[in-house]
Amino acid sequence: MSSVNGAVSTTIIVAGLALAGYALLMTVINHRMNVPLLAATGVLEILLLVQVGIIVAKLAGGERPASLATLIGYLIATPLVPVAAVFWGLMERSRWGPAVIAVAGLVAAVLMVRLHQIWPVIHV
Amino acid sequence: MSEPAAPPEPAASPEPTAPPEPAASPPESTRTGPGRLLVAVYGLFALSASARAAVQIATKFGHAPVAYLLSAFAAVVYILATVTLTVGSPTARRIAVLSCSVELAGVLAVGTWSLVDPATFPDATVWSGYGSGYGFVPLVLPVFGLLWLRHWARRPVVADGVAGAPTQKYVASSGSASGSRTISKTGRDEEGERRWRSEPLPAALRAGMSSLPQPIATLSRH
Repeated sequence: MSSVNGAVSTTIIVAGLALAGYALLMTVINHRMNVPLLAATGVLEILLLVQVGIIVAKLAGGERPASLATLIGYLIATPLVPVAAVFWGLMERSRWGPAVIAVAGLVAAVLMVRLHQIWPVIHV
Repeated sequence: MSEPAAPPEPAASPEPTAPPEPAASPPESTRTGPGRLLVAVYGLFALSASARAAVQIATKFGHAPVAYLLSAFAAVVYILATVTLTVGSPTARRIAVLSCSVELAGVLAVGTWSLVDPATFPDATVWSGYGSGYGFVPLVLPVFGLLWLRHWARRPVVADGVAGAPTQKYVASSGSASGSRTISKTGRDEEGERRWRSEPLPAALRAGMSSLPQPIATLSRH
């Protein structure tokens, strides 16, 4: 119970990078936003919410990171990344909508690394 | 429309025989197309830089005051660029060029400063090491921003929500060939000249202009 299982973080990194690759491919071949891409972004969102839930449970257990304010900021911002990307990307009726989703996938992967730096008990 | 006794109106005009382009494509702006990606990345950096600076200044300002103040300055520049690129009006584009230029100068200056004098930066800023902590995105971002804004500055038709209208107004105000001569002589109306070059002129107007003196007639060749 001293550390967070790294499986969720690893899954999010893989899923984020895969989503970014898929979305970038759509941009390259000039495709707009479509339902499969939205579904994939939804899967990433669910994974991020699971991760946030795990960390909140750990905080509720009494453990604290060095910088609690930073961690709470990340916990709030992380699940908003795919949501904001979907809203912003759906407003675009061109290949550049999926490009926004690609950014969200990359950011999700980077955020997992940053969470580990903020609180090393969150394994990657 | 469904009333049969209605006066005979041109039924075709409100029907969907009109070209579907205006409804199908969104209004062009600095926030659409590639700008959609640009604004997304700028927004990301505006959020992360300002949150980071706020936490740093609030919790441990004395640790690295120069670095934290520069972080806050970077945050302001990113916020300004995000907002102005989203708005996209001519004034906003001018401010966006300014903030992207400041951003590029800042990442180059702070990047060099952080390498030459690391003692001033016990903690990193967004622009330390030319943005190496952020995958050098802070170095690349203002370049793409300025390229995108230059692309907009060179656009022939003003697209601030009134696509097509400026050209129409310009031609209408010129009226006849003599009218267009008057306008063309009024110094350098650069925006107007760009429109002339890019837009195919009405055939009658072009024929009239070809009979004009040489400097004015060259306009119609483009």
